Amino acid sequence: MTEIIQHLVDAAGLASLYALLALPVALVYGIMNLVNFAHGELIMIGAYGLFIFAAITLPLAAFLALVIVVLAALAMERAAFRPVRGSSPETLLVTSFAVSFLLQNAALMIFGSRPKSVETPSLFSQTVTIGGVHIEGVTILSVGLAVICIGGLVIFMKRTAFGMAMRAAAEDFTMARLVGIRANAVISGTFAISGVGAGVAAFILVVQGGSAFATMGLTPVIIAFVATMMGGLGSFSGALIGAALLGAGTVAFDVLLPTQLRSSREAFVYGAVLVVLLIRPQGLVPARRERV
Amino acid sequence: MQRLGTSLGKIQTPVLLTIVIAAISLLAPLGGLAMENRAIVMLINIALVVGLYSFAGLSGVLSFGHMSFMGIGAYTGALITIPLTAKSALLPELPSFIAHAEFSFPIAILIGGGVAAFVALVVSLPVARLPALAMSLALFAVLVIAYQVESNWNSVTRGRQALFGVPTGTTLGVALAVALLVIFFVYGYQESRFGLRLRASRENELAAAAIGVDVVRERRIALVLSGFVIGVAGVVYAQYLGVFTPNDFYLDVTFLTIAMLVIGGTRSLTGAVIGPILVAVLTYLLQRGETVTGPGLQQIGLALAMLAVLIFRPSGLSLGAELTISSLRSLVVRGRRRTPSAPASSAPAQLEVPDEN
Repeated sequence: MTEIIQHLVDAAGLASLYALLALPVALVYGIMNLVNFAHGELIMIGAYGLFIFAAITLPLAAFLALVIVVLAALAMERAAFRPVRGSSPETLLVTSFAVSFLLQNAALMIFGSRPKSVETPSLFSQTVTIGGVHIEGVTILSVGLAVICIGGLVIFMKRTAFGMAMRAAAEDFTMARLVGIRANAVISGTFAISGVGAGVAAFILVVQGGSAFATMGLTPVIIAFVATMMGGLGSFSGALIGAALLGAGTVAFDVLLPTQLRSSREAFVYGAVLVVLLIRPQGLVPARRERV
Repeated sequence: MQRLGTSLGKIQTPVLLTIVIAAISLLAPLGGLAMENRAIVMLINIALVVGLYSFAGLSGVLSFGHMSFMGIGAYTGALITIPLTAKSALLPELPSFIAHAEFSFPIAILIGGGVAAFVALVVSLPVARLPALAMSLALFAVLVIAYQVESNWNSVTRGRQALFGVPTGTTLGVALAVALLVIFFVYGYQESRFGLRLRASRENELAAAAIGVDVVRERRIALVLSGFVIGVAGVVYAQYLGVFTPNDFYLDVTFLTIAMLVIGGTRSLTGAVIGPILVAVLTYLLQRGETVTGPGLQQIGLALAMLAVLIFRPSGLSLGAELTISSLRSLVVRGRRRTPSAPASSAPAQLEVPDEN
């Protein structure tokens, strides 16, 4: 029994992190049909931000890193995605792919290929034991931040005028513009929110891994893609469900696979997702269908 | 000229592309061994990009996963060509049917392509049914899966360690022959009824489905054919390198081939051929520049070139047009008649002629 609870706790920690990765990607896709490959590089920028400001106290460093990521997200939208706005989703995707590769190599040029280690308080590496169940500090951090961020996002989207404008734009962008919603403001706002998501995720990943490196955005972005794809592209609740299932599936494969296969755990998880898609090609929570 | 165009008829595009590529291949050895090696890599890239085009270009579904077929072709081709004694020392735990197999290079090319095509068929079962954009992402997941398997299947691939001792059978002639065969093969597919149906689904998926095109089936066929072509290119590349690791078939080559296709233009075979040629020139120049700036300029320059094409010329330098005799002639005529104020935009789709022409 304790063992099962232990696995559930681990899955909850992983699922929270995955939700923080998947939700911003789903949000940006919902607004402007862009599957943002470069979201991983926003995380990378956040991690390097923490590395640069680590000398000052951690809360301030985290805040400054967050500001930098949000600015980077806004700059990215302005420089690369605004000129191609309205192109086909494939063109947008390949543009973000180019941006991702550009930023990765720029980071390699500036910081070199060796990971930069970042000191984080020992508080997060401690483990709490409740009734035989070990809860890592990182797990508590991920779950806490995910609850705050997702809860905040939901309230923001439901209660504020800007949030409602965003939902309207996600529903029908042209119609939203016709009733006076400013396209640039909504899209910039969405990118800023995705930047906040990336910054928070960067904080968790740095606490977890202890370092920042140029290619660190890759795994998170793959996870975000797989989760949103499994949930159904363009559906917010789908992204959350996809992230939860992906977290649970990763823990399950970790427990069930024999030791020598454990290093290719991701291959099994993604293979399982492809099998899910064989049964439900539109994802688990299909987004509304395009009208013909 | 007009009569020549009609008698050459439908194959003028691959014939003209052959002339361009053959000319480069004949001139390259004059620049020494380094230049010859650049030409070999360029020809293999042409085979890869044309293979990618046969799926992504014709179907309109971008693929981030096709280089997994390159890896599969490379490992398959290597495992059945490494001499038996070397193989038993290198990979003692190899399953016996591979451990005792040794084939000649041409047979290995076909087997490597065949295995890649088979994997593409298996992949296509779930993937081809997905909506276009989800398909791009699912193929990316396939790339990650292939990379992980190659990196961890120690008894067959040596895992992350390099697989070496692969016979280096790829010469300039072999690379040229393979690139040309791939071009004619993909052009044949493009002009066949299968290719036509696939292109119809690219232009308008719903309209194509409405006139009876089975879009999923056509995409599945394209996935298997492109898997074969890229598998073949993978075998040839492995036999060029002689030593390789799973990283040779992962993100860098995925980015490189997509950049080449985008720069050349995703919507024509001509684009898929001139893309690698232009990138070869660009890479050469950027590598020269790296002696001043330090490493990294090559990748950054390529990414910027790709972004510039996407922003200023989204259909690529070929503008989606094929190289034909009439397009060449109108280019020459336009060049002769050009006056300082002549508007170029009113002309029909023109071709950007690569530097080598």
